[in-house]
Amino acid sequence: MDIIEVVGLRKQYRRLRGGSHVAVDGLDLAVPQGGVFGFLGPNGAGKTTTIRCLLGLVAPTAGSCRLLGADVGRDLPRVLGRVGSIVETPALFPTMSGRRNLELLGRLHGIGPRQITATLERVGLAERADDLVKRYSLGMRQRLGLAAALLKDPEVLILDEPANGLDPAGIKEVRDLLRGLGDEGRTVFVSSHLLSEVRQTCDRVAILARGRCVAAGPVTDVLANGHGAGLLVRLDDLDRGRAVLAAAGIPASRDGDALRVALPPAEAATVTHGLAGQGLYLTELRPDEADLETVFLELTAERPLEVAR
Amino acid sequence: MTALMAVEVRRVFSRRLVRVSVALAVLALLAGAAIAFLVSRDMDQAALAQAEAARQAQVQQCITGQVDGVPAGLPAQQRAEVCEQHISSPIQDRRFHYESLPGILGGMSWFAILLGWLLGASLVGAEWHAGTMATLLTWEPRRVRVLLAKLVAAGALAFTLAMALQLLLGAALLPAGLWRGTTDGIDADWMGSVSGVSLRVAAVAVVGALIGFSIAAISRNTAAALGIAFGYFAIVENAIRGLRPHWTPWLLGDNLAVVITNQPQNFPLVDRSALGAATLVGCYTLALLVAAVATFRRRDIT
Repeated sequence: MDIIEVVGLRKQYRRLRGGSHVAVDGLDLAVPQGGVFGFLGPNGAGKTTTIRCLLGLVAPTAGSCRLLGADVGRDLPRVLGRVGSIVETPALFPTMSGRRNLELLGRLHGIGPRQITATLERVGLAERADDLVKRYSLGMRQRLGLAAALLKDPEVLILDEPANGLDPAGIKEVRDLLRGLGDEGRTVFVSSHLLSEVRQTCDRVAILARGRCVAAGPVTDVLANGHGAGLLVRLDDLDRGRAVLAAAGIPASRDGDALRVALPPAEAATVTHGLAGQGLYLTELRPDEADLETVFLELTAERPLEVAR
Repeated sequence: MTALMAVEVRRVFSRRLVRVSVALAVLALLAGAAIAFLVSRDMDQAALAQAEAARQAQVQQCITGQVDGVPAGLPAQQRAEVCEQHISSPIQDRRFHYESLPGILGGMSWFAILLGWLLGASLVGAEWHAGTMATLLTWEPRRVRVLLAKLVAAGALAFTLAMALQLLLGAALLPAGLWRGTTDGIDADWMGSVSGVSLRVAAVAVVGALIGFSIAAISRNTAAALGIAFGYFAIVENAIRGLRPHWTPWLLGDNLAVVITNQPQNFPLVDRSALGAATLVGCYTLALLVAAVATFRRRDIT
């Protein structure tokens, strides 16, 4: 069963002065159980609106969202106790301490002080737990938001930019925390624009552009579908190497001081065997993978025809 | 629902605005009681009785037409009333009459309404301002429950605060009654009168809180609720009284006054009992609450 199912989701906001703005436009998304799922997209792509729809904060104009099998519009209260979340910058009462904020939220689900203390320790906020939230840095507020999300010991975590405002050490801590939660079998749905973090943390990814999903699947598959799925070959005589490969029916093109070979990395042996057979020895052979940033920028680039649709 | 209400009540009493408002209200009441104590004077009962007897004699002379300054030809009863008002005692009674407490509490009612309005509006307005409404709804998505819990907390806060402040004022004025005045007239009837006034003042404070809460819930802004309160009471009601006097029976302020005083009012065209005024105020409050709940149910939390 998919933990999160989004079908044909559309959200159109009306503007006060007339007109409207489509934030999400026919989004389909399926997030399987367990692991960390990255939700990528440029600013304004519709990530936060999608998360708000999933949490029942915003009513979709069309389409449906299901969370843990429950229709969000009708049955959300039944499953929300199993879901922890952060939406944008965590909002908690600034004139209360971090602990007091968690105590008040925790009472709604019968969560006691021991669990609150344990959660504060888990996010590294135990020492400042009794300070007022208004004295917290952005990173500390983010940690407190994470603590609130984790407080219910949830099966599913829906986190909107959880590393926002954290320093490098904090980002690594959050990355390790999310990875650990995913490894425990929980489902972590995390939106982010930090591509390197997504690459290191997520098992699967969906890329959103202009309110639509433009790519989804395991991170390696999404990368492989980028422009450069193939092999990068370096050798002393590039022109002769290209001719040898062409004679063997393997398309290759010269790119600076290397050859780009249109074969999947699993067939690298064909290349080495063919070239070595003609006395050409390789100085470098590696998968020609696009990095996530390249794929992301390609997929989310403005395409006038699609925008006009 | 019980947990939600308990959380809301705790949240209310954790808020700085509530603490500051309570502290300021307590200080104001204590200052008022101290002033009452300082300006009052304990006076010799015999001298006051003698002065009163002399005044009564003068009143009798006035009634029989032996005092100048009172128009001739008045009916007997009216003449007696005019004389009673016209003739003053040779000694000014500067004692504090604790018996006047119900009137003092009734005078506090506008303060209670505005305090309730402020706290009710701030209770929900602060949630919108801080963005915590979204956080709360990710814990309890049943919006009607959330809003009702907050409403109950706002009403309970206003009622408790109004009753506590009146109790405090009654206690703070007691030394003035005991040592700088008189406690004559305090009996079971008086106790009933004090209880009735206190409950009516607390009730209008709750009305203020619920209306302030509803407006802030609709506008998502504390300042808007306070601005509307000022604009309505200071401008709209006065304009209506001047320009459309026959609409006066439908004004919130005038009907609240009828509720507080518990006296029927002969408005233009309409005679309204205290119960009728209370019903009308209740209808206004309920209409705003329904509008607030309906808006909150459908609103996108962005």
